[in-house]
Amino acid sequence: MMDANRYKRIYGRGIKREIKYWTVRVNTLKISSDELENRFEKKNYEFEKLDWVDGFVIKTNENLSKTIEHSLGYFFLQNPSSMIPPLIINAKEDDVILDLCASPGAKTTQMAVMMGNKGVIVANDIAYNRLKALRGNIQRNGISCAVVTKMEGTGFWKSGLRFDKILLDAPCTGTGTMNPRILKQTSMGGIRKLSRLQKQLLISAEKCLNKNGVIIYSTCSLEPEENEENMDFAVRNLGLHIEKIDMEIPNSMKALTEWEGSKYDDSVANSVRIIPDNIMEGFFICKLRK
Amino acid sequence: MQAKEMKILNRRGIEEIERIVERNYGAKLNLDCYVVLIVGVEKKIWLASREILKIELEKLSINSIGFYFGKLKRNDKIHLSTEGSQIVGRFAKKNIVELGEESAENFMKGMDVKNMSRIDCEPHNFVLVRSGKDFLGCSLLTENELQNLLPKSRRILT
Repeated sequence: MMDANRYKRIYGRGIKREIKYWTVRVNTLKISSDELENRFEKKNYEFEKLDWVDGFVIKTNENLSKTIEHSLGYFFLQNPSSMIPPLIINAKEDDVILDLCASPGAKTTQMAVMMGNKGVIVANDIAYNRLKALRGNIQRNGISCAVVTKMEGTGFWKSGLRFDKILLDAPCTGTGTMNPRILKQTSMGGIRKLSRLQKQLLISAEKCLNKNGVIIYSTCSLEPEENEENMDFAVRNLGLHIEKIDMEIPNSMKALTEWEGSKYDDSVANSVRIIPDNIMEGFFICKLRK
Repeated sequence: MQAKEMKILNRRGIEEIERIVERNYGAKLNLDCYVVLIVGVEKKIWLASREILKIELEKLSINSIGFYFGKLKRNDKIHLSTEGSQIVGRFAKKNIVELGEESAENFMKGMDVKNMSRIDCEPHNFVLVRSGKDFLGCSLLTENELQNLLPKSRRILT
């Protein structure tokens, strides 16, 4: 069980999250934002348009995952925090991007939309159930530029393929969702275990990266051991450089440079923490360059 | 999708798919912007962006490429996926059924539908299912009803 005081020390204040809203990203490969807005109006949803991405925050009692629009792939149910890493990687037509831990595919499909279904995304995952979800979302969103692979993320570098852009949305505790069940189940032992896996994934991603290439590292975890500690590891052990993120990120703060007696490299402060609230999940994002 | 079962179609193979689509739905498609793959003995057709040829696919353990477009059937027929029906639907002139709001909801729940308008439909063929501007998928039209072939993963189950 995670202690609320731990988060108070990280954020400098108490954090609370009550999930009252649906948040969606428009699949502009299939429908325009305006057209989807008209549909939401006709359904009398109470909603607000996000001004920095094609997305909406919606208040309704209807289960949006059980609507015709969702089934037809007109939108993706995705937290706004999770829409930020694809914007930072700045996915463009003709890019060849590796999405190392891609399932369930929210960011994969978002990048494909940004790329206009051109270029290539190698969307990798390993577990059967996770691949099934990834393939289902790629299908529903009509994504033609994705190649789904089933490979160990930590050993992906053995393929010999190299990329200029890599998204490493690492498997994590998920404490940023502030789901009470997750907070209850999370232990320091679990955090440590995931932190080790995340470092192995960073090693693999660095080996897959071309000189001057970029890795966007993200998690939906609040834990410094899964975030700042790993970025410090990437700087000191893998020779990667942390760059400032050139985007105004809502509800964010600088990452920590110290935690429980450990002092991290100063450049770790260029990473961003998204503070959880009723709309945004807690998130960590860092831009690493080789 | 197993990479070893997958075959990339050449221009002639693609023209054959375009011909079958036109014959069944009156839609002139140009699939040149895609790599068209045919997979397995079931002859499932997948579409992928041409740029995927830029990477060395043989170095990867591939699970799938692009999205599923449809399946070739006997007698030059083709059963399209939801995404296939959305691509073809924009240009289709025949074998289309139009559903009202209530029938569309029932169709999305996985039910067979009787109440529909038919646009140049041949019975015992696959038809595109439309409701307003939306193409909901592709199903089989019999004499009296539309047999629901919507995959479970796309149904709206309450």
